[in-house]
Amino acid sequence: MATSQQQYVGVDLDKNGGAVTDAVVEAIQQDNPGVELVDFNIYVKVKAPQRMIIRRQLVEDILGRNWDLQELHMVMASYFGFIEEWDEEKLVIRWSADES
Amino acid sequence: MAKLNVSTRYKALTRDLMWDPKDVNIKEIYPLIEAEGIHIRDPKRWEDPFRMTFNQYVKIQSEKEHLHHAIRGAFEANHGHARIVDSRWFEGVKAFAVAVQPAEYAAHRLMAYIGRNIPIEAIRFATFNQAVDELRHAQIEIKHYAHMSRYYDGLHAYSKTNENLWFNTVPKSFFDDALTSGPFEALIAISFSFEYVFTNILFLPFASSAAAVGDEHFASVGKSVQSDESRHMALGMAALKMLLEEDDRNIPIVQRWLDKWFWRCYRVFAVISTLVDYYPRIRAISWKKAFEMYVEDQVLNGLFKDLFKYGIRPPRHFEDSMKEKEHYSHATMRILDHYKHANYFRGFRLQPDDYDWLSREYPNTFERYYAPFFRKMDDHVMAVASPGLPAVCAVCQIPCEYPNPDRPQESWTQYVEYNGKTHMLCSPGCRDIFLAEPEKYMQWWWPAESYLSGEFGSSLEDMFEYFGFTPEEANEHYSSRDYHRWIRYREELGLDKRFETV
Amino acid sequence: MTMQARNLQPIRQQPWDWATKNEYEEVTLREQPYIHGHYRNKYYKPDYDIYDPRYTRVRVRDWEAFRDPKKLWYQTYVMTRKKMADEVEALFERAGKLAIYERVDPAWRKFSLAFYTPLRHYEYAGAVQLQHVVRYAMGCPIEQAATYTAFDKQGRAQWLSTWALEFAGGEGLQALQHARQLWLEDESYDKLRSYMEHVLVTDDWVEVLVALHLAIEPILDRLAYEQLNAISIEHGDPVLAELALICSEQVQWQENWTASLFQLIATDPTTSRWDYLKSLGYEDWPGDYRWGRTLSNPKSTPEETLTNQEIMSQWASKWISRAIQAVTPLQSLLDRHGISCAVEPVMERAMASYILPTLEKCGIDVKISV
Ligand SMILES: [Fe+2]
Ligand SMILES: [Fe+2]
Repeated sequence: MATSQQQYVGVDLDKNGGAVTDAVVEAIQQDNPGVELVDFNIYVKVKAPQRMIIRRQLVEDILGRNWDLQELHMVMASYFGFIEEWDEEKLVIRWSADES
Repeated sequence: MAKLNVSTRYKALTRDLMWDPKDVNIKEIYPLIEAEGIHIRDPKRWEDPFRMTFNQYVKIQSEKEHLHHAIRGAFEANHGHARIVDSRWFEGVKAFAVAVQPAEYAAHRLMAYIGRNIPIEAIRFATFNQAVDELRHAQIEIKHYAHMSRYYDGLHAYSKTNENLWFNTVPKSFFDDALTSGPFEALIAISFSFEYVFTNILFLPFASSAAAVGDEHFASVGKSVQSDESRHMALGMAALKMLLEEDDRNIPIVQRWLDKWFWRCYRVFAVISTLVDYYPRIRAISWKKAFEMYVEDQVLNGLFKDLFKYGIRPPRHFEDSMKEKEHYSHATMRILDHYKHANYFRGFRLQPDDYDWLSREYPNTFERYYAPFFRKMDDHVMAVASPGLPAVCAVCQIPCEYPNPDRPQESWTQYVEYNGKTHMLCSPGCRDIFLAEPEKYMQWWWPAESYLSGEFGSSLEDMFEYFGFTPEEANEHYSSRDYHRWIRYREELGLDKRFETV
Repeated sequence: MTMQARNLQPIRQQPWDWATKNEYEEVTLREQPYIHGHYRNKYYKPDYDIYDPRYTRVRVRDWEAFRDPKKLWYQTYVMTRKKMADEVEALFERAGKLAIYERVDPAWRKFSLAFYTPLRHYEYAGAVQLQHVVRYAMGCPIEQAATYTAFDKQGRAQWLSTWALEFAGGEGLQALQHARQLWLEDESYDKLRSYMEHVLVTDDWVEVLVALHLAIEPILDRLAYEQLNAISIEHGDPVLAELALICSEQVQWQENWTASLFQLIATDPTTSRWDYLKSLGYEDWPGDYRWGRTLSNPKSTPEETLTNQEIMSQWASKWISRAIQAVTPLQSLLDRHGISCAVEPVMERAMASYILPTLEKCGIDVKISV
């Protein structure tokens, strides 16, 4: 087993989400180090090592309109990692293997 | 008023609604709570990260419904079915129809069972939502097949097919297994093993392939269904973590369930591997790559590293599934071709571009072990048909025709003696599941024995009557009446064939 | 570009071999498999199949024959409920902006928090036991309606909670806490709470539907969501009255579909619980080859000796009597807060306008003992 590999967290976003998907991708890239994108036809996989944050304010700034984190339900097809926090302001996904 | 934050408000709406009964015994309300040996101490700590309320649910979901049914309406009105790149895709959609759709419906009844019997309010609210979601999935999918059934074979008696056909015992026995388990096992089986570990591979590649071949409706089915899955995955993850953290005595029990349900899920996905690698003429990804991306990277290298601290190791037969990834779709397609004369979705003659793609994606296995079989079928589509009834695995119910991935010339079939009878299993994974609960698996409905016992009458015609389709609806696609119908529909719409077919 | 499209001739007009008249039927009929379940339950009733007619005592010739009068399937369900959710949210928003809560008569404020907030427990318990119905009922047509009814109840439990949080202002959480205490300890709730506890241990899924929809709900929901509306407005509280109006739209639907189900069951003279197999096209099916071999034979379970009407009459008598006993003590709560509303005439009206006519259509006699 390749257990020495990096642990990634991430989300699969629907590319039909248009400006919202683009803004979420950009916000993730701005806020998180080491972000990788994998294009998958109708989805884009956005992954980052160990931890990922999506902030409402930043998405809103990029999008140029009010944006509620609940709208993520419409474009987030899947995710991997533990959802550590999800409130009005942010979504945090992470693995916690190295804590212990 | 002082505005409560999302989390406090969510808790206020969804917690402390049940109470300890005063006039009846709580064990009468929850008769199954101690049956499985699970210990729960303070489940109030557990949280559903999605915090979905009734109002949010109906608002978000009605928007999704709106978007999806608009696409469906356009597709139906414009005869999108005639516009896809190759009609053999529909054989895959048919497989999906009778394999996955009844599973959605079973999941609906199952989530109600779990929510009713596990007295943890946060879990319960998420399971109630999911119970309704699964009915949504069943119905969204049905709408697609209802439209297709007006133009193509194989689906018009899908419920009967689901009840009686040998192929359908595969997904049906899977959900029947979960439905007859205790509520905690069912939760780990479906919410965690199925939803978290495997649904990605069910809907993401298949929806992508649907878009690639031009089936806009099915792409939307896949995407719209998948958009609910994040919530189901979150439930599975949280439930797993909760069971592991509540009490150490739960850990070995959970490990046993992970071992069982990992392999059970993996095997029920056998047909999905052919839907990824074979049925779409334009593929989004190979099974091998999809398995590496969704299961190896995200689950083995992601999740199971995190679970290590609880003393949880990767599921027992994980390595077998990794070894099998270069064989899985080919061996499964070979099985489907062996029995295509008695199945409602057809096999098909591989085209030159299929050989190219399969050889390129599977350089170590396809040409060497499988291409000769398919070439034999190219010469005569029934050359590879197996006479008689398949001997199927007593656990997963797939015909026992998988090669041992370590020595692909040899069979992987295992034999177990139990209760004075020899039972056949397709693989060591299924054998171990059988051995852990032989009294359960010896109950299984064995199609061959049922057919031979005369349950379905004495003639082949009687049997097809119970299958819910006729022999003309079976066999090979490019020589079938469905293919010729599709060509005719296209001609009537003034469309040219895009692919040459030999 | 797709002008000729309508010339394509379909190979069949009906999608399925069984007739369907509309979208609702297309996505509802024959969803549940009826035969060849693989295993029996590991713990609960281990001799029963996954979908087994023995989960209820009543017998029905064709379980697939039931139709929801509103023909709700997922799409139409969430669309109609989205409208209600929007209305409820707009209602609370307007109430806040217009500061309506501040002008509500103090006696009514106290009473309504003490009466409506505990009902979240009542609604929720009903939702929980309906999940039992969803799992064990026969056929998708029936369990689908139960699914949406359970979801509605859960929604009403949340609407009542939201209302209490808003109405009580900064003391919202305490209001919920206090209401829970009333539900558990106040004498006026004692019988109602006990009633719901007994619903939660009722095993026969048809009996659960009788207990909820032919007994307690027609009485209590009329009081809570209809009778008190005018009184609420008189006390300067239009918000609760409007909320109740939306709730009663759901409640009317749950009464309608259950009434037609009760009628279907009560008027069915079928004496064998296995007759429904014929309606599915399995008239020549000799039975599962495993019966009597690897599995016990379900047909060796003795048939019921009572008719459906007799069984339902027992259930209705038992639960209606208890429902009256459960709602009667709520009078003391009204009196305590100086709200002039008599519970007994409400119960009589519920009996006269809904329960008795429904029983009559079913041909059921009841003996009410209070
Ligand atoms: Fe689903
Ligand atoms: Fe197997």
